[in-house]
Amino acid sequence: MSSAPEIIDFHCHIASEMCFPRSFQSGVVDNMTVALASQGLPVTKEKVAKMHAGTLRDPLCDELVKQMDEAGIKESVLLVPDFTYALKDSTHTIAEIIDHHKEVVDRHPGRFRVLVGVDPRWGKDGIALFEKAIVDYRFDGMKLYPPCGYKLSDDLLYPYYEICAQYGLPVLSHIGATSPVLDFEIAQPIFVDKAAKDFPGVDFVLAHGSVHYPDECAMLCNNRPNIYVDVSGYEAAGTAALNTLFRRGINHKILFGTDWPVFRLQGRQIDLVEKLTKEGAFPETMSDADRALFFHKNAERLLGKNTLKSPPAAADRG
Amino acid sequence: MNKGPVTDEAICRIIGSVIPKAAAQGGVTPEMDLRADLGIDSLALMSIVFVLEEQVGIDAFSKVEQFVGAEAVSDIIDIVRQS
Repeated sequence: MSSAPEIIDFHCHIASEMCFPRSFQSGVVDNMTVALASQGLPVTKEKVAKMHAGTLRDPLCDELVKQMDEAGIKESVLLVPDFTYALKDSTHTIAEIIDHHKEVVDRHPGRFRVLVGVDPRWGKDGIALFEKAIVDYRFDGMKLYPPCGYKLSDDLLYPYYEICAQYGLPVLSHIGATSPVLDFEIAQPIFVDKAAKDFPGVDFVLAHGSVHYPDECAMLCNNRPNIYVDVSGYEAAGTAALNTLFRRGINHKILFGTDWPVFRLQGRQIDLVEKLTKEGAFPETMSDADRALFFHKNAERLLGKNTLKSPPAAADRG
Repeated sequence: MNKGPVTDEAICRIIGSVIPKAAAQGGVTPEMDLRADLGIDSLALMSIVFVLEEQVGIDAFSKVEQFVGAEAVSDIIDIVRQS
């Protein structure tokens, strides 16, 4: 994939069970088991769980880096959703999980950014932990997971948004359904609107925006200058939805993302990148410049506003 | 329990039985790529593992990481041979 060396994958996770509580994984496995059993296969949940767990064995991201090199992905953004407040069977605290991400970043210099999540209901301790990750660890923004039980415009999140505004950091949020042990209704994209209006200097990214609520996500991107979408999830939903998204006039708002390791059974990272062209994700009317925006330039613009990593003047030039 | 030797053709037939009909129409051969040629997704790969375990008798779930890394039909054949 040497012809596309500039890719930034804006949506990845560390493939480790420490990042996903057992109940979260169990819910995912329930859905897989129902689908397989419906085909008359001799399925047990235990065996499906074993197969699923096989995708979560790259805790230091060594395999991911190999696959990034193969796919022409120069950087990946690791997302840290904080499930530890909502799901009490987490094996590690959110502080331990954040520290592990720092270890991975240091192990692979220049290959990873981190958007760090802290459930806003942790109170002042949570804000201090987030600020430490941003200021001391030089992480790159915030990751939110509304299905854990909060809305994107919840007042509890405003101190975090203040920090993001102060340092020029993006906020990326999961949108839509997820593991069935969590809430779906609360994760609708429209709930970002008040926060995006109140914090015009903070860029908000709606994850899975080509798959979940695509019309609402596109509407928000069209009308709020600081709202973006990432396309992770196209692997399951098919590339036709992407083709539609690229014809909505918001190519300056769309970010490439794979959701590693969620689709690991569908192939290597290079397969997921090549799938886009092979399966017709890009309309013929889409220019090379728009493809560059999608694959890396939009991501570079969002990540380049970080005043802790670059002078504010650079961010102003956008 | 392993049910004895199984031919490459039999493994190809098993794979062909769980993938979309359009992909299986021309037949499945060892050199084919699981995703690019046969359009195998996460659930289809799991289906292959379940059917191999049932019909061939291998302990497929002790080879989960190898299945996760399998790219071609020949990789699946190799995993079965090693079982």
